Amino acid sequence: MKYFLLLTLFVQSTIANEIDVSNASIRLLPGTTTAAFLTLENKTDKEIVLEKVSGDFAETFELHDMVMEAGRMQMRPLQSIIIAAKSKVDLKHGGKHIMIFNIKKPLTEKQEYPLNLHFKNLPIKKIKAQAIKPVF
Amino acid sequence: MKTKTLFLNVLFATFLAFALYYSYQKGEEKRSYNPYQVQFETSLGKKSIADFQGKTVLIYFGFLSCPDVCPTTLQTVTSAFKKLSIEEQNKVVMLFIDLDPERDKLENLKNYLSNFHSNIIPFSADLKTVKEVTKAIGIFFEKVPLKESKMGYTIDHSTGLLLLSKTGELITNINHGATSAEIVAYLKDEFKKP
Repeated sequence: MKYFLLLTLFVQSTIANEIDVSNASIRLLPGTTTAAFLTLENKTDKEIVLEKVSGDFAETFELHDMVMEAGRMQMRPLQSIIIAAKSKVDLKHGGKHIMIFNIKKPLTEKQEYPLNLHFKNLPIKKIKAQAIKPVF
Repeated sequence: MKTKTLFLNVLFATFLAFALYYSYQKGEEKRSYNPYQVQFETSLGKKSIADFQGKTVLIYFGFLSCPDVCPTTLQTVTSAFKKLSIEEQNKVVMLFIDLDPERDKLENLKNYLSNFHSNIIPFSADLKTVKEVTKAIGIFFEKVPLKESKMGYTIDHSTGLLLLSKTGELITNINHGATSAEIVAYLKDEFKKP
């Protein structure tokens, strides 16, 4: 029984450790549209694919990328975000981000909001992202 | 026979004169089009860019569903304005010309911008006017349909911040990514001018 428990713990922690999520934040903005940013670190030897993000505090979550070309900003939806084996992907200002539309009620600064990250062939990863006002 | 030829010649000459006059008039209209004098709906009533002559003017072209680039510029300019003395703040405005009049109404713009510095003024007009003004100033923007997104469409746009002297002269296009300190330096250079 003891060994079984240890084994269960081991298996659970392996799943949890396949992908590391850090610096999760939601940009606090007026209006009902904003973006969330985070860092994804793939600790495995195989690529990991983020396919979708979901949450309760807004109606729609989409993966988007922003490309600046000759001073022109272009924003496009992404089908998925690939995190190559043993590497990191930063979702950050001016680049890939989680686009959030139709926020149900205004977010509060410093409060944490749950997000579900849906990876291909992995269990849903539940994280919390803090609403912050970045300083520029 | 002679009379008939003469009559035709006179008729032709009259037609030519009218055609020339018409094309001159059209050309004149084009030549006299001044995007800085076009009236917009603003939080201060109907205003044109030229109405702000006497102040140093920053102009930004953006839209409200823009989740990152536009609010970053708004926050950077807000920080820059806060670094100025009250006296200096009274010498400068930023005009936010909305590129998405189909989605953004003046009331939404006012609400949104009230979260930034009070010297940032929303400028709103119908799509045709916005297209004419941006084209004349040389600002790129394009509505791009996004089939895979609930957004429906996005607006690709130039992200620079135009700097106009207090006499209305275009000084420079400040690149996106300029820090608030850099914007302050541009503004202080303008304030020094007689």
